[in-house]
Amino acid sequence: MGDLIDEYRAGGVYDEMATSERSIRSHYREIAAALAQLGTDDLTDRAERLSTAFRDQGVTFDLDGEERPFPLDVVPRLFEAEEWGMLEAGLVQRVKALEAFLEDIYSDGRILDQEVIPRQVVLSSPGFLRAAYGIEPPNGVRVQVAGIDLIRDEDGHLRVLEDNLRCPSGVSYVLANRRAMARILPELFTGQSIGAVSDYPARLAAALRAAAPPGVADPKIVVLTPGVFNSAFYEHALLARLMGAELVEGRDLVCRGTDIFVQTTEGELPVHVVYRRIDDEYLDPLQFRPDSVLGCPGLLNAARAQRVTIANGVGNGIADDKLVYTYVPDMIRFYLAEDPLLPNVETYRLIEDDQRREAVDRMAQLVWKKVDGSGGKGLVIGPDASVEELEILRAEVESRPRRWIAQRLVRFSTAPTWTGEALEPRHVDLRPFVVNDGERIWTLPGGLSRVALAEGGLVVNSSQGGGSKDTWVLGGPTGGHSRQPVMISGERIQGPPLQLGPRHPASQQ
Amino acid sequence: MTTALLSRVAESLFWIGRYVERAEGTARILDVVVHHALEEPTAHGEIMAERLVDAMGVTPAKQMSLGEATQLMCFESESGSSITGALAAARENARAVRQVLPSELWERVNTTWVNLPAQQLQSRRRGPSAFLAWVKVQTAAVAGLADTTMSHDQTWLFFTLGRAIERADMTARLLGTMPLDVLTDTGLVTLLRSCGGHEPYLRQASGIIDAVGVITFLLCDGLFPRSVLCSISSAAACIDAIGANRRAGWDRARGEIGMARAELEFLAPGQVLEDMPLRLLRVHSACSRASDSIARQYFAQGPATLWRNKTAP
Repeated sequence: MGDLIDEYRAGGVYDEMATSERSIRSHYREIAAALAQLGTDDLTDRAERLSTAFRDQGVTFDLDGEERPFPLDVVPRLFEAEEWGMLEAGLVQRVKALEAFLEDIYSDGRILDQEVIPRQVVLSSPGFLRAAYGIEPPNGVRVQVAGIDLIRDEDGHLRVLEDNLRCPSGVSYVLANRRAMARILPELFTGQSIGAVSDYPARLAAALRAAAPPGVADPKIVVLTPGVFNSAFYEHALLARLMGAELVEGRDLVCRGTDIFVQTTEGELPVHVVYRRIDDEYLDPLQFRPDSVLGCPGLLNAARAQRVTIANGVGNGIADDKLVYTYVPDMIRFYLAEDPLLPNVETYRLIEDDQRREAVDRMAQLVWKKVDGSGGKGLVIGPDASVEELEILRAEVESRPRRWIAQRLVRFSTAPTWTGEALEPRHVDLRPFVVNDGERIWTLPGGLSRVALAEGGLVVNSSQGGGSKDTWVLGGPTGGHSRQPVMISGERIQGPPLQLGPRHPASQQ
Repeated sequence: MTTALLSRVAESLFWIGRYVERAEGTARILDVVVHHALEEPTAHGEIMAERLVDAMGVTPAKQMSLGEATQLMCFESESGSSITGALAAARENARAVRQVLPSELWERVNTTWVNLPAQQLQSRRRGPSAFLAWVKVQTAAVAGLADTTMSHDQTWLFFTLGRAIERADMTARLLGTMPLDVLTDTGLVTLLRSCGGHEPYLRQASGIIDAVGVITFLLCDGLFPRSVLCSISSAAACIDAIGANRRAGWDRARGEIGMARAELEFLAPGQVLEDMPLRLLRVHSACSRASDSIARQYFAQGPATLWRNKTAP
């Protein structure tokens, strides 16, 4: 095998491609061969073209008012079908339990009565919204889309890092990545059977239609965006385009009584499902922040009257609370009477005195996160923090233990990543996307692998210099690695030869 | 009112239109089909190659892989049915009628041809996608320049007529690449994307992909410019404008196009999937018969006369 692969050195943690004995894991063999075949010069060229393609397509995210391309690595991240199958089962189980939890706490609160989760934990959560009480989703689904972040620990086991049940973003990069890879690095695809990602928008659209208010035959779906300055605007536009839905801002919507309409050149047209990509607190100035201009006054009332469906559900933020996250395994046992298939990362509940003492004692070895933090904000990595930072944190944690959690620092797995000169190990996480249409919980094969591009870096967020990798599930549902032609040839249609115009005689001129 | 045009010039303009549109249509179909085969594990390369060459009316000597079929349809420069061949033929025709083309338009056609070898070389290293994207941009520029820098007189009408007829034929061929009796959702999306119709369709159908809807859209949508019906209507409009001040009784090309348009325009939605192969063949033959009739009616120059030195008896 070529130099590129021979020279690859995994860096002391679990590596997705190479084992500790430096042999290539079987599911990575074909891609390793294809990469070696391409060689350094070609890879440099392809990497450049990938970034140009992203710039041209406007595949960007917004950072401090600046549009930036989201770097895509040339080396995909691979999963075997078998492992993916197990992961899928774990995700489905988790989403089921979380749906049951949301349903429960916004109605009877059985889980609180039985003290599986302390009532105090739920009531004190910034994500718990009293206004969500009494909003019944028509088909019982509150989590149309979930994005569940996972990492692979030192022993090679996948663990859940956090749940995102509000507006998980990133799926547009999955779609754009696959498209760009197939065009720019076609050599890598040959001979492999890779789970397709392109039907995600159709699945999401179906889940949204299924969530429409009762009695609506042909529901009108809109995607509600905060506007072009939102960091994920690219994604909102892409999803609207691929679902054939209208992309609206708050000012395009009007509420009349308990009905929501969208203003068009043909008058006001009724809206039945709002796939919102704005946070709860901005949704409806009558219920939440009165200064919000992003939402639509009266939207919540319309949802309460079941005249319109808000997806994902209002109040889902409670499940994203990182302290509530520590109780998800208990939820799975309580609601489903099953053992959790996917473990969490070991986490300290700082509201419990003995756990807090233990965590504070080994402060410098742990990762500290705010319970409602996202995008890597407010994150403190113990070993990297200065003594002063830790002192400030200690005081903060002692006075407000409910606002923080502490987790074991997982040196999560690395995957070979192109640095411009060589392949080097970089840490990767995974965000699979799960769509619930009420009948079936479906997982997009692959999801978004984010990679920390800095050497040794453990923060993968795009706002902190992260990139992404196309993620392949090999030997998809069509059965093993053998390519089964599902497309039966059908009736062949022989077109007539193309007509040709007269040639101009060249002789004698 | 239009000014009369030399028959020979009209013929060249007509064929520039056809060849440019052919290059674009072929590039669109290949771009989507080839990458569909990579992205979708259920797509089977050989079968797709087979259907592709069938639909494009190529009769290869042997069974081909998708890569070989792509190579053939991109670079088989000897024949006007490949992309490079069509672009070369368009340039050859354009050169002969430079005098009536806006220089920007001629230059675009010419630079496209000049750059073909370099693009072909590059595609060998980088795969076909950059080449196909380039072809799409070049042909779109040619079409755009024709629309905005040519006077819409007979020069433009013959050029546009050629494009319209070729486009109707291309969309019909595209429909022939898919097994219409066993269409999958991804297959339908591929069809739509091959003529840039995915997003317009989604907007119109609020995101619901179904076989009848998609086929109806590509065959007889009244607003999408690459639907067969729209292309045929555009051809009919050109024929009418060209023939406006002729006193001919029965216009054969007009008849061929009109019959084909009527069949699509008044097709009941429920019947759209029935007899598809036959329906597509009727579109092909309407296009080629119309093209022949136009040639007879407007381009006929009679056989070149060859005088022999005959000594008087």
